[in-house]
Amino acid sequence: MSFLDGLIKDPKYQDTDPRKPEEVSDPDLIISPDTRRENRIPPGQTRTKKWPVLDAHGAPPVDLATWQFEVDGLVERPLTFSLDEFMQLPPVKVYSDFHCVTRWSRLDNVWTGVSTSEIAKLAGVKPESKFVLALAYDYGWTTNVPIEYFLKEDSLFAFLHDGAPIPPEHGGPVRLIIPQLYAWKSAKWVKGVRFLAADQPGFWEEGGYHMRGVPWGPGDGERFRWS
Amino acid sequence: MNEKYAELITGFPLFNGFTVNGTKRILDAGEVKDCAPGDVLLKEGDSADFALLVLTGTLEVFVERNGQDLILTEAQPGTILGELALICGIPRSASVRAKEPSTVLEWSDETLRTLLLRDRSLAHRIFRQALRTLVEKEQSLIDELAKGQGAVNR
Repeated sequence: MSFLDGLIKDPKYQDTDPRKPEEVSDPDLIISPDTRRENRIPPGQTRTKKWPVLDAHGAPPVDLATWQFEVDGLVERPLTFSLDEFMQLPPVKVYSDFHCVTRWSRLDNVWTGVSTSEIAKLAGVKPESKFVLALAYDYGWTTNVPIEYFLKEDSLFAFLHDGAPIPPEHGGPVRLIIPQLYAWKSAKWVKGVRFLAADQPGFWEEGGYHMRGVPWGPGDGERFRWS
Repeated sequence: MNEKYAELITGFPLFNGFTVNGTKRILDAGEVKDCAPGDVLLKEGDSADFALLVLTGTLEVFVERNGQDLILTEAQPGTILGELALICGIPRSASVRAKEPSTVLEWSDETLRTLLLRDRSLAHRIFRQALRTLVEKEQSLIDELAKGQGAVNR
């Protein structure tokens, strides 16, 4: 690719069909179960080959030198990580699809990061913890996730997308990825998680968006609380 | 003061499913204004740089023709006013005044655009309400024309 092509072409544009999970030749890869569906596009969604940018406030300033990730709430051991410490945790790789509530889906993504269950194990999550509130660097933005989805095998705190650092507009340096829920639950610019006994609506959920957000029906998926 | 209205407007169809924190954020993005009967809030022909959401009271939408006020409709709580002129970049098509002591939320041009761009669900509801109002107006115009046509044909 020439220098000019790099400027004109979107490097994240997908000009081939999505791979099937069995075509992704990496034995260490965790395969998101929804990628094994015959039809990988949930109801009411359309495949995009681009990687659109959508968020509530735009990318916040995040200083990598002072970046911190905090784990608190119903845990035995509240934790704080610097970016260096976070990156030294054992990495996982996940092959998954990405479904935005605004009706586009980007298939065939490989995320590298720290498994959510690794964080839960290190912190010692108490049994009464049933929900997780993810907190982000963008002006107090939060989102709530049922703990069983937070702890799915394919959920992770990602710092690489398709092998490259996640750019700021897509939530880097670290973003949550929960492939089995609509992507607004995959908090960009994540700065910590809080384990809770009772569900507590996050930013979009306070605006009527669904408390759980499963994209696969019945009907049109769990988009809003009023639908 | 916004806490007082945050609870109230969770009952508006526009904010169906919102929590009090959610509607408080909507209120905090704009400016709540009290108005006395007769206060003119929007003026026909003016350029549009804000929209209104009626929080309490009743507003009259009117135009002035041949020195007389022609009342077009009354706007109740939950109604958005002046958003079409803002979105379309055209002058106000009618004037609005308070019929009784009322409260409105004023959204600047930038605030409304941000709401529409960021919150797809709210944008959908705002556009649906605006377009329904337009279609109803068109329907009533057609009815009037049909009546007039009937009179001519007789």
